[in-house]
Amino acid sequence: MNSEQLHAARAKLPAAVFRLGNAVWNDTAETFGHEACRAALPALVDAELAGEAIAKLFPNVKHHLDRCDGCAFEYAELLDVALAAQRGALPQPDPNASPDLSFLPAQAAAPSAASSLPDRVLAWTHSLLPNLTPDVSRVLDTYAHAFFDRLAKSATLQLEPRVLREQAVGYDNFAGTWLFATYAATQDVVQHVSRAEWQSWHASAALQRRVESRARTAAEQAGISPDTAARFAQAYAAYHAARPTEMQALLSSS
Amino acid sequence: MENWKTIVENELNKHGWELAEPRAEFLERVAQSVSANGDPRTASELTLQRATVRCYCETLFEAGGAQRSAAQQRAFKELWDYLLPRALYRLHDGQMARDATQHALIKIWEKLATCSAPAGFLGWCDQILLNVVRDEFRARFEKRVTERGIEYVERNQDTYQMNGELTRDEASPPQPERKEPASDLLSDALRGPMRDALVAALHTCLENERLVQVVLDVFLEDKNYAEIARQMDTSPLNVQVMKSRALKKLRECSVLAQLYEDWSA
Repeated sequence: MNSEQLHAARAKLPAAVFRLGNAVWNDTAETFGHEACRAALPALVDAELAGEAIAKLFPNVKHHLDRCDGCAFEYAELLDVALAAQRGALPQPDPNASPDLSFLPAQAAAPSAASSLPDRVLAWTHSLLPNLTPDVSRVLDTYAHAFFDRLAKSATLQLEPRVLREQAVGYDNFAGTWLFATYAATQDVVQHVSRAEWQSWHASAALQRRVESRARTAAEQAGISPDTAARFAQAYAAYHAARPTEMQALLSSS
Repeated sequence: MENWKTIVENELNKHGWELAEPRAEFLERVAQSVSANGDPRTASELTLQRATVRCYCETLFEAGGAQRSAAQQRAFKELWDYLLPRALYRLHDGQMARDATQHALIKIWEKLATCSAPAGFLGWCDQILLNVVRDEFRARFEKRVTERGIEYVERNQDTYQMNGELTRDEASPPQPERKEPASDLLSDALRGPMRDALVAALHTCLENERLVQVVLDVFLEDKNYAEIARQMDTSPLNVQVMKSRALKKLRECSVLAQLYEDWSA
């Protein structure tokens, strides 16, 4: 018996019998893979602890575990420890043991006018979110850490649009998208608009229109969809039109 | 205080969790989390406890990313308190457990943005800890896995001894008390000749009633691993080991293969 014969006979076999055969003879890749399974394991463990039927709630995950030793071992191990915790059987460690948290960024001093570009971009994104997608503001800092860490590893914070698009890979969430758009738009203004020009726009009441146009272009060039770029640009421009001195502080005088 | 709020507070206090502030907002989130199933006042204690943990996971995840803040420091301290006993359970060595937990915290920090389900953040962190333990303390971890399996048997032996019921048959390994033979637990679709043929083939290939039982429970009854472990008086890890061993034997057994070929014809 091999996997081809088994799959050819699938219609003749009860589902449970097919599942057993699949676990015994089918070594080929399946549509529901290891990464998806592992990502679901915490939810599965939680359901098991509550006595819920995981085969009904998570059939794909359960059936992947039935036939994948690697994922199943990880699951059994997580479940074993969770059950031990539930029955109060985890050992008590030395109460004097404490972690070394020096790998975390040092706590911030009072805000100053000389904030860096990433700090400004993050602060502006926080300010824009109530008008865009308020629900994601709680996770923005988490994504910002990864985003700026990636940029820092690129040796420069000045990036070409192509590179910005590459950096966007993986940010298929709103928190990352707005942060990314704010960075792209701000970088565009900082690189191409002088302080004198900015002041001239403000004096002639053209600042909001100019900024919106540049922000929309910058966001689209960075790979953000036109509709999303338009929403972002409108909010971004309105913010800076109301607070022109904040961006002005970043701009070159030449 | 209303009873449901007391349950939430007790769950937070049990773990020493201090970041659920402002409290009214956190309680509102817990209430909304259970409100799809009804008023939080009518939710069961277990439902409220689970909702509290889920909501606190989100709080912890957010605080973990709140750079340069006291909340971030507190979040990682609470992660240490949560993970260290688990590392100690897995390694049974204080220094190794502290080292593993420290390494896990750094990896959690590095990978924080990749957590796709903040409501399961603590489970995600435990997965990272498990990977650190397996990668960096493999020999010690594997020895502990074996020890934990034996502890299950010994714990049951102690129970039987206390009740004065220890017999040679019960001592190793303890046999579960089942109301029906394993082969009678198959679903209706598998009754009759197909059932009999499958059970016979499994017995021929596996030569071990417990391995037959695991195969039937996992694949044909689709049971939870925790449930199987409870019924067999063993650990989920041992259930997985038995399942893996059974599949290996079945792959090498021509009797089962012939049976499937006959069914497929």
